[in-house]
Amino acid sequence: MLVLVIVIMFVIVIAIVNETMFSTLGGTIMNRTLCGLIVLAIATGCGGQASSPPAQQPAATTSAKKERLEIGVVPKGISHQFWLTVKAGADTAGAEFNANIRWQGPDKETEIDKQVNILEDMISRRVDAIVMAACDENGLTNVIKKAVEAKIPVITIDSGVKSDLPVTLVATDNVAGAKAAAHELARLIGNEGEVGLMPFIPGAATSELREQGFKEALKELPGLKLVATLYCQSDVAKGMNVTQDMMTANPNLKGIFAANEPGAIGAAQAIKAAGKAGQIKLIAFDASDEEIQMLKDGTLQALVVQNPFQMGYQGVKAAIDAIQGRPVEKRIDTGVTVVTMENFHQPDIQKLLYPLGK
Amino acid sequence: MRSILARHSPLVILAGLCIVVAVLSPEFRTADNLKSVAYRTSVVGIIATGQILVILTAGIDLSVGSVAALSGVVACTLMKNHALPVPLVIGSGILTGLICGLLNGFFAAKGRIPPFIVTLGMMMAARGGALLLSGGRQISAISDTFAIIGGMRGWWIPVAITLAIAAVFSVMLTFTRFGRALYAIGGNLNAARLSGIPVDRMRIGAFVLCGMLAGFAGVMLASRTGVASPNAADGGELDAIAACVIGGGSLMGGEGGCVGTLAGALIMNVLVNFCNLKNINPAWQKVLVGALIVILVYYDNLRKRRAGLLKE
Repeated sequence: MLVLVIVIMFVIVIAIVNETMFSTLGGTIMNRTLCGLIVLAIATGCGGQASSPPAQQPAATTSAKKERLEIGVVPKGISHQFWLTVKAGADTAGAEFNANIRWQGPDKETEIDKQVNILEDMISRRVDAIVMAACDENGLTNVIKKAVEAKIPVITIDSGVKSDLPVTLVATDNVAGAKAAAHELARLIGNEGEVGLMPFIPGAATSELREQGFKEALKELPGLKLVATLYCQSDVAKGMNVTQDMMTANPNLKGIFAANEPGAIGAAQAIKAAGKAGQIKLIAFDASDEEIQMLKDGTLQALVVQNPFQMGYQGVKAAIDAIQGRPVEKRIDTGVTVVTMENFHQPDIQKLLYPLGK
Repeated sequence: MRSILARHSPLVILAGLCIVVAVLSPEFRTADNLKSVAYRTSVVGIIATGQILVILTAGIDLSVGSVAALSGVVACTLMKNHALPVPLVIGSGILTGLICGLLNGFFAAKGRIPPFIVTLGMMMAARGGALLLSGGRQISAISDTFAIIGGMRGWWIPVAITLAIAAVFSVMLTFTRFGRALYAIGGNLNAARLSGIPVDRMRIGAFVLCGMLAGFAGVMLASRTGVASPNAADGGELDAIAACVIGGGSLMGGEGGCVGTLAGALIMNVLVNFCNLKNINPAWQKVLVGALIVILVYYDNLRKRRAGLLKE
């Protein structure tokens, strides 16, 4: 039993050291591992130690409180390059304006409840401001209300909420971005033919707005016929499956618009496996390393690239303006750029594609 | 005749479902689509084959989805950073699964902790491990030879591997001492112990094989999608458990088999495929699949009870 206690303490010490030394990864991952190990460890004993280890955790987090402003940045997920670029932007702004950035997010974009918990913890911790991308446009309104009542300004980035409480929304105009995608797809398939749409999660604001923008643009493009709308659930394997089904149900399919990165990778794999690379034109949002590789090897013809670095940077900047009482615009657009192999090598495009360096 | 039908009811249900779907959707009947369904069932089919071994002993393994993700991440990290040859890459994935399975089995059998709890812990720890190791990023798994097992050089390869695994384990369950012991343990643990079966070792064996298969499935998934994602196979454990149960397995132990389990996995994928082909709203897909799981298992139980096969 003593051994178990030592093991638990050891894990916690590693977690604390890890968090202070490499705060880049965010606490969530570590917490997760920690929880798992504690469950395992407690389970092997008789459960008598259950009360002590969790009590150690808050001590580890509060000890870091300092004089500098502390800004909590909560992405929708932590495992896509998009969010890592947001983090780079937030960190840059943090360094520039002398603020500590506390980066924490749910593992997956579907985990609304986990995101609420993270925000509640940040409110209890009394961070100076919260910069967040909402996993759901309705599900986060209550916790945002709680933050505002606690006098913590909330800045939304990337995905907003259906509420006036946030100071601002720093995001891509997703409707305009999806419209640009539809027009580019029309150009690629010669303004005529059947097309498929792959949004990611029904109910998620970004997904819905891109779906809306694409469908609105199709009204201006009478040659294009939308034959399928299937969701990839932000999962590569599911994106692959639905693309195969789309191609099976519609043998004359000429183009697909994948509204996010996992969907794009899945669609590209399915198109490649079917030997139809280049025949079915694929256009996708975002620009991860995999997507750029697919653009280069021709499975994917165009990328609608957002500016996640600016979202992180402008989000933190707006937070600091709000804390210090300066006015902030209600909507800050970070813009999109359509990247094809034609403009790929231009220096400004390269900087947009590789904000973290190659 | 009746009892034969009841014993193989998952296959009968699968056949019936395929006929109905084929009538309703001409696209379903195309060779390409059937290939695609068979191909996408490979990963969950392999995970479920491992799961049924544990379920037979009246256990459950909730960690398989996370273990698959961890194994994929381990294998692809080694491939990318150390240029390991492909057989070793696959081996490292299986080894990762083996270690996780061994830990699960040890704590469940020797530590006398309910498998639900042990594997719940492993589910969280392995997912966290995958996130830690990958730094939260997807790891690119693009390599021409590595792409083979995922079916990028021929859809039939993963399908053949899955069928071979199911066949081997089916034979093992029916004809070996180990296989029969799993049924005996699930049927009545104490009776099995008293009759001289080394219960602990057999249970550990089931968890180890389950982990190894999950590890292999994780590598196959990474090969198929071209990236090893720390969030891969999210909810994979539930799909696998559903496949086992639809395929005639009982969470009380002692019932089920590999062929039925594979049929169960196919039933689920045929349903989802049908919904996609018909462009049905994803919310309805979930309702439909959920309802069908319960209805199928209900009818299966009814048939078995009539045929006098159900353990009361």
